[in-house]
Amino acid sequence: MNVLIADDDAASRLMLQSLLTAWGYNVTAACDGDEAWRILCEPEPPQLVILDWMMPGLEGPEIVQRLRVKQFESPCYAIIITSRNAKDSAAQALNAGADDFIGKPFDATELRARVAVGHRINCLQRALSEHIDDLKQSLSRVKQLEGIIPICSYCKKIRDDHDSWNQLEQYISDHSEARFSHGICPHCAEEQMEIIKTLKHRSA
Amino acid sequence: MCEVVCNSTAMIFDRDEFVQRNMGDLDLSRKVAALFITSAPEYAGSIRLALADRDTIALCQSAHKLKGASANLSLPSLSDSARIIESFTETGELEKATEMLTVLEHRLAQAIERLESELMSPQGRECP
Repeated sequence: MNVLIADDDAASRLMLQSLLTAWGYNVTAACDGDEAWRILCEPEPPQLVILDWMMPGLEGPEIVQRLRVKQFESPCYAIIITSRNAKDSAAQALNAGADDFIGKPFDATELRARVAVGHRINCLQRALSEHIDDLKQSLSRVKQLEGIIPICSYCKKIRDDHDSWNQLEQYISDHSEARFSHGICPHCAEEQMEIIKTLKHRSA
Repeated sequence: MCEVVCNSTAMIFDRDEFVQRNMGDLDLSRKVAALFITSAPEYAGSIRLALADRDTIALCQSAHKLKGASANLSLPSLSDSARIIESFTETGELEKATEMLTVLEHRLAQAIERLESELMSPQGRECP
């Protein structure tokens, strides 16, 4: 998983970057809020971001507010890390749109566990997003069959979007998950038997 | 409002906690400490400059930065000094913040000395 770290303190940045790399994450580091936001707006943004609260340029809570307003293709799990003393800091960060909050000095074991939670949530959100896409595709096919379908009153062929006339069974196969097995109904069987008998009689 | 009581008994450097924060990686601990030793005097300089200019925004930011950085380095006495300066700035007590700067600079010197002796020196390197 790709992780972005944004902290203006070089020592804290090195510490976080080294630990997360050792835990198997692909880490990118930004030294201020503006650089962090630029990286988050790139075509394939990181799936998890750890933001210092107070940084030059955009601050951590401002970045998460922007993250929640901008509609990203895949969701980004945001953790804010800070040494702020105020009692309501965690609430402020979470209300701004952060998914989690960690105080400085951080505990490495706790940080690892919280990042793992972020990874798990991110995987679940991606799986859910894929299921929704599948459902949307299925739904669009169902809608096509629910619309007005032009059919020939005589031969029962159906006109498609390209003005071609198709057999009914071909059209349904193309626009749904339905497949056809081929048999003969008793009425048609009887008719066909009569035709065969007539042909045999003529040939004899 | 934040408590602005100077904790004079605060530890200068908690080596075990710092190394543990780096998952026991001594090499990483030394690299992080080396970066701090380079950057922390700049942070203190920013505090001094902001106090001289009576720029409360810059002063708050610089003190906050040093507070967080030193807390991650397990330097509680230095972090405490930066916290007090930040608190005095928030309440507009810049004279008290100026007085506290002397304490902070003394503690910064102590912190750097301890980092160098306990992590960076050959003796420090031999510690498990």
